[in-house]
Amino acid sequence: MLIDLNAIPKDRVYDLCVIGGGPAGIAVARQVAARGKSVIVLEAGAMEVDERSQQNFRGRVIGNAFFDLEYARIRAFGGSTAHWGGQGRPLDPIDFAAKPWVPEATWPIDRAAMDPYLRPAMDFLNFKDTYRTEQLGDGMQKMGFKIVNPPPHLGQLHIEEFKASKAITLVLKANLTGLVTDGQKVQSVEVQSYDRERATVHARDFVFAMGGIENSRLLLHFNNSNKGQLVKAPQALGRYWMEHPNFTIGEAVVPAGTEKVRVYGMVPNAMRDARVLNCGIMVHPVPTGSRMRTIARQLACVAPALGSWVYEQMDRQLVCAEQVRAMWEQEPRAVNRVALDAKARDQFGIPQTELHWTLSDMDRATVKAHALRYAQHVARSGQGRVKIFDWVLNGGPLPENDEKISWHHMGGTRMSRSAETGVVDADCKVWGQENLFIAGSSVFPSGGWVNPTLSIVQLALRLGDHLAARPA
Amino acid sequence: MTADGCSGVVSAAQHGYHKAMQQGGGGSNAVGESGFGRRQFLATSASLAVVSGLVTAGSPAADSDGVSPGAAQPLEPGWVIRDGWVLPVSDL
Repeated sequence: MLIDLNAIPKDRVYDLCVIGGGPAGIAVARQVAARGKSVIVLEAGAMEVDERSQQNFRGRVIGNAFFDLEYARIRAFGGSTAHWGGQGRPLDPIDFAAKPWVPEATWPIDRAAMDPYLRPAMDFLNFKDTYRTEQLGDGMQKMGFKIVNPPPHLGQLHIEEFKASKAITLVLKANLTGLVTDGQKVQSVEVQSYDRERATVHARDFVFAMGGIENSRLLLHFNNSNKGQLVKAPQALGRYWMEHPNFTIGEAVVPAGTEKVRVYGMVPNAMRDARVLNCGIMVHPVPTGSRMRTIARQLACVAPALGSWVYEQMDRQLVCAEQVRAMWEQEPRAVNRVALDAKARDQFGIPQTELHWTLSDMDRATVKAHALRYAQHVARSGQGRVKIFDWVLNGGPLPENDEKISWHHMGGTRMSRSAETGVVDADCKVWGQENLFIAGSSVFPSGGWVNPTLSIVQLALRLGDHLAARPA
Repeated sequence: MTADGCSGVVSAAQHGYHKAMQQGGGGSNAVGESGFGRRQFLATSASLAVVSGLVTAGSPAADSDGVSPGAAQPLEPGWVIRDGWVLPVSDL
């Protein structure tokens, strides 16, 4: 059912309170409600983007170029599925595995723990096909990458279901403004409407599902208001925050008629040998012929033995130009973090986000290694030749006129084997709290290179199973 | 300049972007040619000027742009790089 904030029953104790109605929140709520449990979902926004809601995402970015935080996510029912591209692929097994050259890029669970939730997550997101990975034999692999069109807006897709549900109570325009813990268990949360109505919600279990920045911001704030009794070992809280750097890294000359969009990357053993992280190299045709002629001439100049071939093929329109892009895994580092702004507050008096984000030497090395390996693969396999931009090869300034990042907010409440090295355990439960859980990409200890929504939903469904099985 | 300093209310252009994406603006062709689908936004939103200027001027972290990559990535024997082109020596 859908109720107003002032209609929240004062004395009811729900089995589960989910704070946030994005893909993670919707997935976990449905999974628990399907087992007959009572669930209340508190969504800060409305059904559509609303300025009063959106402005609470304002924040400051310190470091490399980044998008405005106010617009980098959607604060409405359905969350950022209101503006996503509908793309995805599961994280690779190596993303979970120990990597001695980057010890922090390791999960306390392996990929097998996620696999049972792949098909249900694909169904939830309307991904139809399976994921194929083709080994190319020279340290490279070609990776299946799904695009669902149109991308499902999960708010619009599930609102009628939530309205009709007897197990789920949905409250819109309910902003989390208070949380009380006795040091072991969360007792209640307080929400406020934009008209300053207040309500207190009691539940047996609570899930934070507010997104890859807000989960950290609100935990930091409520840890302060609870005098450090919410996250008692806060060393990692807000830290190890990650994005997927996303740039055009080069150009290629390939035979005309080459399959339009392809995604490549190094195989795990090659990554281990090079001591780098994961990356997806995506290539697709450049639409203009003039660019083709320009880069083909460049190639002919530097590779005289190819010159006559290049001009002949170009005249016969048998070659085309391709743009080479990369989206890659960022090294999880404590210095990249969500912090609380000491001065600026949102309209409910909670400190705004101060996001610290930079690229590291490892981040640069990762894209360079994958780019070089890909370029050699293209030449060795007779597909063409690849030019890699100077900033990739020699570490120059990052291009300003590019996408830069992928709007994938990960880390900050990372999953870990101990309270000292993370914020949640392998069940996504906050260390030291009996009944507070986190859903979403903020729990990712490392982010691989793929769009995170599919993995977010896999983890949320897994969390839903865990919560549904907890004794009353 | 900070992100907060760049931001205002959600602009009409950005509302248009959200709407376009809700209506399937990230269609298969657009996504395929957009490099992971974000160019649709950059191309259709007038907010590009807003979001592209977010380097925090003078912050220590911004200087890391110029840091050289950490690990060496030597090419295998028999390969060279000329003006960025990765070539087998037989091309020369």
